[in-house]
Amino acid sequence: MMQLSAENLKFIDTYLQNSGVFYYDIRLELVDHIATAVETKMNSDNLDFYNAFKNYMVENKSSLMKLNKESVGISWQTLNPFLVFLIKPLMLVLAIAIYAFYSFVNVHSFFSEQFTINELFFVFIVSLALFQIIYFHVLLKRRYFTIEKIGSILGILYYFQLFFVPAYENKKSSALTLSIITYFFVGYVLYFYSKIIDFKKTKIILH
Amino acid sequence: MKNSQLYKGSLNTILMKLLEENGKMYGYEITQKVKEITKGELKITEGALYPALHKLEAEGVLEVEVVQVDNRLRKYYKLTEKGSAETVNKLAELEEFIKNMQTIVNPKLSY
Repeated sequence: MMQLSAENLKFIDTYLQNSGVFYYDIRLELVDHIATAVETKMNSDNLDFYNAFKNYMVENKSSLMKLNKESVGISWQTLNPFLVFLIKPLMLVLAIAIYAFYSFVNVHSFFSEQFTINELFFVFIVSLALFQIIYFHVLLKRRYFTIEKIGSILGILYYFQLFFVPAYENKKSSALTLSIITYFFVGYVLYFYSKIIDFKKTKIILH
Repeated sequence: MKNSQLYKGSLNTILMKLLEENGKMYGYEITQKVKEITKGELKITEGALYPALHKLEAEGVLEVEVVQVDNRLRKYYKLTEKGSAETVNKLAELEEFIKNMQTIVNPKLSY
Protein backbone atom coordinates (compact mmCIF):
# COMPACT_ATOMS: atom_id res chain seq x y z
CA MET A 1 0.00 0.00 0.00
CA MET A 2 1.41 3.36 -1.08
CA GLN A 3 1.67 5.88 1.72
CA LEU A 4 1.67 9.65 1.39
CA SER A 5 4.71 11.56 2.62
CA ALA A 6 4.60 14.43 5.08
CA GLU A 7 5.09 16.84 2.13
CA ASN A 8 2.09 15.35 0.32
CA LEU A 9 -0.05 15.82 3.44
CA LYS A 10 1.19 19.39 3.80
CA PHE A 11 0.28 19.97 0.14
CA ILE A 12 -3.31 18.80 0.75
CA ASP A 13 -3.57 20.94 3.89
CA THR A 14 -2.31 24.05 2.07
CA TYR A 15 -4.66 23.35 -0.84
CA LEU A 16 -7.64 23.20 1.53
CA GLN A 17 -6.51 26.32 3.37
CA ASN A 18 -6.28 28.20 0.06
CA SER A 19 -9.75 26.93 -0.84
CA GLY A 20 -11.14 28.62 2.25
CA VAL A 21 -11.32 25.76 4.74
CA PHE A 22 -9.91 27.84 7.57
CA TYR A 23 -10.94 25.81 10.60
CA TYR A 24 -8.01 23.62 11.61
CA ASP A 25 -10.08 20.78 13.12
CA ILE A 26 -12.22 20.48 9.97
CA ARG A 27 -9.09 20.55 7.78
CA LEU A 28 -7.36 17.90 9.86
CA GLU A 29 -10.26 15.53 9.29
CA LEU A 30 -10.46 16.33 5.58
CA VAL A 31 -6.71 15.87 5.06
CA ASP A 32 -7.02 12.34 6.42
CA HIS A 33 -10.11 11.68 4.27
CA ILE A 34 -8.53 12.96 1.06
CA ALA A 35 -5.18 11.29 1.81
CA THR A 36 -6.85 7.90 2.30
CA ALA A 37 -8.87 8.33 -0.90
CA VAL A 38 -5.77 9.44 -2.85
CA GLU A 39 -3.70 6.54 -1.52
CA THR A 40 -6.41 4.10 -2.62
CA LYS A 41 -6.52 5.73 -6.07
CA MET A 42 -2.71 5.64 -6.41
CA ASN A 43 -2.75 1.90 -5.74
CA SER A 44 -5.77 0.92 -7.78
CA ASP A 45 -5.10 3.10 -10.84
CA ASN A 46 -1.30 3.06 -10.56
CA LEU A 47 -1.03 6.85 -10.48
CA ASP A 48 1.50 9.22 -8.88
CA PHE A 49 0.39 11.56 -6.06
CA TYR A 50 -0.37 14.65 -8.16
CA ASN A 51 -2.47 12.82 -10.74
CA ALA A 52 -4.37 10.85 -8.12
CA PHE A 53 -5.00 14.07 -6.16
CA LYS A 54 -6.11 15.92 -9.29
CA ASN A 55 -8.53 13.14 -10.28
CA TYR A 56 -9.97 13.03 -6.78
CA MET A 57 -10.48 16.79 -6.68
CA VAL A 58 -12.15 16.89 -10.11
CA GLU A 59 -14.71 14.40 -8.80
CA ASN A 60 -15.21 15.71 -5.29
CA LYS A 61 -14.28 19.35 -4.94
CA SER A 62 -17.80 20.75 -5.17
CA SER A 63 -18.99 18.41 -2.42
CA LEU A 64 -15.98 19.18 -0.22
CA MET A 65 -16.54 22.90 -0.49
CA LYS A 66 -20.03 22.48 0.93
CA LEU A 67 -18.27 21.95 4.24
CA ASN A 68 -17.36 25.63 4.25
CA LYS A 69 -21.02 26.40 4.66
CA GLU A 70 -21.02 24.81 8.09
CA SER A 71 -21.27 27.91 10.20
CA VAL A 72 -20.70 28.75 13.84
CA GLY A 73 -23.90 30.79 13.80
CA ILE A 74 -26.43 30.90 16.59
CA SER A 75 -28.48 27.73 16.84
CA TRP A 76 -30.59 25.86 19.35
CA GLN A 77 -28.19 22.96 19.00
CA THR A 78 -25.42 25.17 20.48
CA LEU A 79 -27.57 26.89 23.10
CA ASN A 80 -29.33 23.81 24.46
CA PRO A 81 -26.26 22.16 26.10
CA PHE A 82 -25.43 25.50 27.77
CA LEU A 83 -28.90 25.76 29.30
CA VAL A 84 -28.71 22.14 30.45
CA PHE A 85 -25.33 22.97 32.03
CA LEU A 86 -26.88 25.93 33.89
CA ILE A 87 -29.46 23.74 35.63
CA LYS A 88 -27.05 21.04 36.80
CA PRO A 89 -27.40 20.52 40.59
CA LEU A 90 -23.91 21.83 41.40
CA MET A 91 -24.51 24.90 39.27
CA LEU A 92 -27.81 25.56 41.05
CA VAL A 93 -25.99 25.38 44.38
CA LEU A 94 -23.64 28.01 42.98
CA ALA A 95 -26.63 30.13 41.94
CA ILE A 96 -28.00 30.00 45.49
CA ALA A 97 -24.56 30.84 46.88
CA ILE A 98 -24.33 33.90 44.62
CA TYR A 99 -27.78 35.05 45.71
CA ALA A 100 -26.92 34.48 49.38
CA PHE A 101 -23.70 36.43 48.93
CA TYR A 102 -25.45 39.44 47.42
CA SER A 103 -28.22 39.31 50.03
CA PHE A 104 -25.93 39.19 53.07
CA VAL A 105 -22.98 41.22 51.86
CA ASN A 106 -24.71 44.38 50.95
CA VAL A 107 -23.08 45.00 47.55
CA HIS A 108 -26.20 45.08 45.43
CA SER A 109 -27.39 48.37 46.86
CA PHE A 110 -24.70 50.09 44.77
CA PHE A 111 -26.19 48.67 41.58
CA SER A 112 -29.66 49.73 40.47
CA GLU A 113 -31.64 47.21 38.48
CA GLN A 114 -31.42 49.48 35.45
CA PHE A 115 -27.63 49.75 35.74
CA THR A 116 -27.26 45.99 36.24
CA ILE A 117 -29.17 45.10 33.10
CA ASN A 118 -28.25 47.98 30.81
CA GLU A 119 -24.61 48.51 31.73
CA LEU A 120 -23.18 45.74 33.90
CA PHE A 121 -24.51 42.87 31.78
CA PHE A 122 -23.16 44.59 28.68
CA VAL A 123 -19.73 45.06 30.30
CA PHE A 124 -19.70 41.35 31.20
CA ILE A 125 -20.50 40.35 27.61
CA VAL A 126 -17.96 42.73 26.07
CA SER A 127 -15.18 41.61 28.40
CA LEU A 128 -15.94 37.94 27.66
CA ALA A 129 -15.99 38.69 23.94
CA LEU A 130 -12.62 40.48 24.18
CA PHE A 131 -11.19 37.56 26.10
CA GLN A 132 -12.46 35.15 23.43
CA ILE A 133 -10.98 37.17 20.58
CA ILE A 134 -7.60 37.20 22.32
CA TYR A 135 -7.90 33.50 23.13
CA PHE A 136 -8.90 32.49 19.58
CA HIS A 137 -6.42 34.62 17.69
CA VAL A 138 -3.45 35.09 19.98
CA LEU A 139 -3.26 32.06 22.27
CA LEU A 140 -4.66 29.29 20.06
CA LYS A 141 -3.11 30.73 16.90
CA ARG A 142 -5.33 28.44 14.84
CA ARG A 143 -9.08 28.57 14.32
CA TYR A 144 -11.12 25.65 15.59
CA PHE A 145 -14.70 25.10 14.51
CA THR A 146 -15.60 23.23 17.70
CA ILE A 147 -14.39 26.07 19.95
CA GLU A 148 -15.72 29.02 17.97
CA LYS A 149 -19.11 27.35 17.94
CA ILE A 150 -19.20 27.50 21.75
CA GLY A 151 -18.23 31.18 21.55
CA SER A 152 -21.39 31.93 19.57
CA ILE A 153 -23.45 31.48 22.77
CA LEU A 154 -22.17 34.91 23.77
CA GLY A 155 -24.02 36.33 20.77
CA ILE A 156 -27.24 34.85 22.14
CA LEU A 157 -26.59 36.41 25.57
CA TYR A 158 -26.04 39.74 23.83
CA TYR A 159 -29.44 39.56 22.11
CA PHE A 160 -30.96 38.49 25.41
CA GLN A 161 -29.58 41.65 27.00
CA LEU A 162 -30.85 43.88 24.15
CA PHE A 163 -34.29 42.34 24.64
CA PHE A 164 -34.46 43.52 28.25
CA VAL A 165 -32.89 46.97 27.90
CA PRO A 166 -35.96 49.03 27.00
CA ALA A 167 -38.11 47.43 29.70
CA TYR A 168 -35.90 48.26 32.66
CA GLU A 169 -35.89 51.70 34.09
CA ASN A 170 -36.13 50.66 37.67
CA LYS A 171 -33.67 52.68 39.76
CA LYS A 172 -34.08 50.45 42.79
CA SER A 173 -31.41 47.90 43.56
CA SER A 174 -32.14 44.22 43.37
CA ALA A 175 -30.04 41.36 44.72
CA LEU A 176 -31.98 38.92 42.54
CA THR A 177 -31.31 40.70 39.25
CA LEU A 178 -27.65 41.12 40.11
CA SER A 179 -27.48 37.43 41.05
CA ILE A 180 -29.06 36.31 37.76
CA ILE A 181 -26.67 38.42 35.69
CA THR A 182 -23.66 37.24 37.71
CA TYR A 183 -24.87 33.66 37.36
CA PHE A 184 -25.00 33.93 33.56
CA PHE A 185 -21.50 35.39 33.58
CA VAL A 186 -19.97 32.78 35.90
CA GLY A 187 -21.99 29.99 34.24
CA TYR A 188 -20.71 30.97 30.82
CA VAL A 189 -17.09 31.11 31.97
CA LEU A 190 -17.36 27.66 33.59
CA TYR A 191 -19.16 26.20 30.56
CA PHE A 192 -16.58 27.59 28.13
CA TYR A 193 -13.77 26.28 30.33
CA SER A 194 -15.29 22.78 30.61
CA LYS A 195 -15.76 22.61 26.84
CA ILE A 196 -12.15 23.65 26.21
CA ILE A 197 -11.00 20.89 28.59
CA ASP A 198 -13.19 18.37 26.70
CA PHE A 199 -11.81 19.55 23.38
CA LYS A 200 -8.22 19.36 24.59
CA LYS A 201 -8.82 15.72 25.50
CA THR A 202 -9.38 14.96 21.80
CA LYS A 203 -5.73 16.02 21.27
CA ILE A 204 -6.61 17.97 18.11
CA ILE A 205 -5.52 21.18 19.76
CA LEU A 206 -1.99 19.99 20.53
CA HIS A 207 -0.97 19.43 16.93
CA MET B 1 -25.88 11.41 -2.23
CA LYS B 2 -27.86 9.51 -4.82
CA ASN B 3 -31.60 10.32 -4.92
CA SER B 4 -30.72 12.78 -2.20
CA GLN B 5 -34.18 13.90 -1.14
CA LEU B 6 -35.30 10.37 -0.30
CA TYR B 7 -32.15 9.38 1.52
CA LYS B 8 -31.40 12.67 3.27
CA GLY B 9 -33.84 12.21 6.11
CA SER B 10 -32.32 8.86 6.99
CA LEU B 11 -28.65 9.84 6.91
CA ASN B 12 -28.35 10.10 10.70
CA THR B 13 -30.00 6.73 11.16
CA ILE B 14 -27.66 5.15 8.60
CA LEU B 15 -24.61 6.60 10.40
CA MET B 16 -25.83 5.50 13.83
CA LYS B 17 -26.65 1.99 12.61
CA LEU B 18 -23.18 1.62 11.05
CA LEU B 19 -21.46 2.79 14.22
CA GLU B 20 -23.61 0.46 16.29
CA GLU B 21 -22.42 -2.48 14.20
CA ASN B 22 -18.81 -1.51 13.75
CA GLY B 23 -17.89 0.29 16.96
CA LYS B 24 -15.63 3.19 16.03
CA MET B 25 -15.27 4.40 12.45
CA TYR B 26 -13.70 7.34 10.60
CA GLY B 27 -15.29 9.38 7.83
CA TYR B 28 -13.69 7.75 4.80
CA GLU B 29 -14.37 4.29 6.21
CA ILE B 30 -18.08 5.14 6.56
CA THR B 31 -18.39 6.27 2.92
CA GLN B 32 -16.66 3.10 1.72
CA LYS B 33 -18.73 0.85 3.96
CA VAL B 34 -22.00 2.33 2.68
CA LYS B 35 -20.78 1.96 -0.90
CA GLU B 36 -19.82 -1.65 -0.23
CA ILE B 37 -23.08 -2.64 1.48
CA THR B 38 -25.25 -1.05 -1.22
CA LYS B 39 -22.96 -2.28 -4.02
CA GLY B 40 -22.24 1.28 -5.12
CA GLU B 41 -25.91 2.29 -5.24
CA LEU B 42 -25.64 4.77 -2.37
CA LYS B 43 -22.72 7.17 -2.26
CA ILE B 44 -22.48 9.48 0.75
CA THR B 45 -20.60 12.64 -0.18
CA GLU B 46 -18.17 14.43 2.13
CA GLY B 47 -20.35 17.52 2.03
CA ALA B 48 -23.25 15.58 3.55
CA LEU B 49 -21.33 13.22 5.80
CA TYR B 50 -19.18 15.53 7.91
CA PRO B 51 -21.79 18.15 8.82
CA ALA B 52 -24.06 15.27 9.91
CA LEU B 53 -21.29 13.73 12.03
CA HIS B 54 -20.43 17.11 13.60
CA LYS B 55 -24.08 17.72 14.42
CA LEU B 56 -24.47 14.32 16.08
CA GLU B 57 -21.27 14.97 18.01
CA ALA B 58 -22.56 18.33 19.25
CA GLU B 59 -25.82 16.68 20.30
CA GLY B 60 -23.91 14.18 22.42
CA VAL B 61 -24.96 11.20 20.27
CA LEU B 62 -21.39 10.57 19.13
CA GLU B 63 -18.01 11.05 20.76
CA VAL B 64 -14.66 11.35 19.04
CA GLU B 65 -11.26 9.85 19.52
CA VAL B 66 -8.22 11.14 17.67
CA VAL B 67 -5.58 8.56 16.85
CA GLN B 68 -2.20 8.90 15.15
CA VAL B 69 -2.27 6.69 12.04
CA ASP B 70 0.84 6.55 9.83
CA ASN B 71 1.99 10.16 9.70
CA ARG B 72 -1.33 11.87 10.24
CA LEU B 73 -4.17 12.16 12.72
CA ARG B 74 -7.42 10.29 12.27
CA LYS B 75 -10.71 11.24 13.90
CA TYR B 76 -12.80 8.24 14.92
CA TYR B 77 -16.48 8.47 15.84
CA LYS B 78 -18.35 6.15 18.17
CA LEU B 79 -21.78 6.11 19.81
CA THR B 80 -22.13 7.46 23.32
CA GLU B 81 -24.43 5.75 25.81
CA LYS B 82 -27.14 8.24 24.90
CA GLY B 83 -26.41 7.57 21.22
CA SER B 84 -26.83 3.82 21.59
CA ALA B 85 -30.22 4.29 23.20
CA GLU B 86 -31.27 6.72 20.51
CA THR B 87 -30.17 4.34 17.75
CA VAL B 88 -32.78 1.82 18.90
CA ASN B 89 -35.53 4.46 18.63
CA LYS B 90 -34.30 5.76 15.29
CA LEU B 91 -34.21 2.27 13.79
CA ALA B 92 -37.71 1.47 15.03
CA GLU B 93 -38.91 4.75 13.55
CA LEU B 94 -37.28 3.98 10.20
CA GLU B 95 -38.71 0.45 10.10
CA GLU B 96 -42.16 1.86 10.76
CA PHE B 97 -41.62 4.34 7.93
CA ILE B 98 -40.53 1.59 5.50
CA LYS B 99 -43.54 -0.49 6.47
CA ASN B 100 -45.91 2.40 5.82
CA MET B 101 -44.26 3.27 2.53
CA GLN B 102 -44.60 -0.32 1.43
CA THR B 103 -48.31 -0.29 2.22
CA ILE B 104 -48.77 2.89 0.23
CA VAL B 105 -46.58 2.04 -2.75
CA ASN B 106 -47.47 -1.60 -3.06
CA PRO B 107 -50.74 -2.29 -1.21
CA LYS B 108 -51.03 -5.91 -2.41
CA LEU B 109 -47.79 -6.89 -0.76
CA SER B 110 -48.65 -5.19 2.49
CA TYR B 111 -48.33 -7.08 5.73
